[in-house]
Amino acid sequence: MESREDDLRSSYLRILDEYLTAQTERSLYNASLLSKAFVEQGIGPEEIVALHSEAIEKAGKGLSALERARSVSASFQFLLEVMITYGVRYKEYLDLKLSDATRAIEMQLEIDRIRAEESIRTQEQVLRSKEEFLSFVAHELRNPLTVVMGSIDYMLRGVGAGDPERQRKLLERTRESTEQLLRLINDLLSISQMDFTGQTLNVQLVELDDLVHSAILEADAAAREKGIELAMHPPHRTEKVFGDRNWLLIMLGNLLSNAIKYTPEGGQVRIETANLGRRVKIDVIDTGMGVAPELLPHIFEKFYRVKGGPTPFVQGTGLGLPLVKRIAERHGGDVSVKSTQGEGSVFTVLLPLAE
Amino acid sequence: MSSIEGKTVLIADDHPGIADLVVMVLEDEGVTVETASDGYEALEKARSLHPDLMFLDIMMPGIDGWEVASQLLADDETADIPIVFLTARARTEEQLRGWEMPIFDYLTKPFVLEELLEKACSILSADRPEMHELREQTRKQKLRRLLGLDRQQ
Repeated sequence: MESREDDLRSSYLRILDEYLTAQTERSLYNASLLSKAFVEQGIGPEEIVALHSEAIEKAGKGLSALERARSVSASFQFLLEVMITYGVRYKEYLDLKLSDATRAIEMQLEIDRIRAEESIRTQEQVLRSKEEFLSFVAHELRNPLTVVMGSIDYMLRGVGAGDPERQRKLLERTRESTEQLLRLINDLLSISQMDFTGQTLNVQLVELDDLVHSAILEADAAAREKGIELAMHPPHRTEKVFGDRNWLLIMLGNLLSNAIKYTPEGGQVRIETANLGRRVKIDVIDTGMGVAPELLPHIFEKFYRVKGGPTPFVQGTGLGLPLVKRIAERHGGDVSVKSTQGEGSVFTVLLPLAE
Repeated sequence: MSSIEGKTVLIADDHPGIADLVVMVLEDEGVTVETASDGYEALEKARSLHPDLMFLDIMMPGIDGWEVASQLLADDETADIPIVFLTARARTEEQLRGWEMPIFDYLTKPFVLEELLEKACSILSADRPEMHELREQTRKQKLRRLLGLDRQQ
């Protein structure tokens, strides 16, 4: 920067010298160009005047009084020209700075506006998904309620209600429907607890062996009812994980009951575990109907089944797998699925190993 | 009531408990009831049986009730089958969407069994010329109620 300023100074002296010698228009034009450079370089008018006085003093040395007076007068003409141009340039310069500043402010306002809009959009999205969730809950309540109310209505009407066959069927349906309502309420409660990060987990050291065996024990009755063989492989493990035993049991229980639900009678459901070093892998493997490929990417979404997924009617709440995912995530793990239609599915849970 | 004996009703609903109820209450009145548990079966049975009335669920696997209804209504062979939606989709905008079609009614779950039976009887016992009048009456009444409810909210 220093040298640029020095350059400008020496240019000024050179042009002034030219002017004093020949007093051409070209020198004045060059002086006005130089003014622009002074403005841009931040050299102020007082500096120019000082530079000018110094130059005149130097140039006047050795001249007669008359010559000196002529030289000073000519140099004032030059200085005036420089100062006028300087003023014009300085105004332009200020305008430019001002419009830059205005632009910066406008841009900031635009950014603020976009940010505000984005935040509103996010809030609307949250609201919409909450509303959608509630509407699905309402929908899921309506079907079992219809069966309960309809069955009671039918028996009260008395026309065909004397038929013990029908009575039994309606009572069974009513029973199933109330169980479905109970499941829905339990799952809703669980998933809202898991979604709510304020819900603390009762974390302790959990033995994998004990966890898996307990889950299998709980699912045993449902499996036996369908003649499904439940197994763990390898039969014993020594690894431990940190976690809330109850929630982990709910997670495995959901995966097992799902596997049993979608596996035909006489099929197989087994849990395979593996130590991956820092994590433990729990595979729940079934020989069921498998998951349609178009459904796979959505299988962990709440109420996807209800949203019109191409699944046939199966008793379920549409919240089981989303709950499994939330529990796994809350434990620093994850769940994924692989499936071949007609052959079966593998749900894989990864949990961090306790040292 | 005797005029509805021997008529055929098709109930399309993937929830077996609900289909069972409709079957029981209509069979008691001497009506033949057929069931379909998904959209494709609903279309197929509507075409082959040409029922005198069809109860149609909306959220079904395969193709949904909206699509089943519009396909049946677009086909001259099946356009005259009276359709009554029987659905858990109870929101006003959904009901209004239903009424955009020439349907005979839009019943929301949970429904009162007696009302469903009355609805079936009135449609099954109507003569062909009375059908149109019956449909328009219900439509006007339901739309008025739906829009009136909206104003109260």
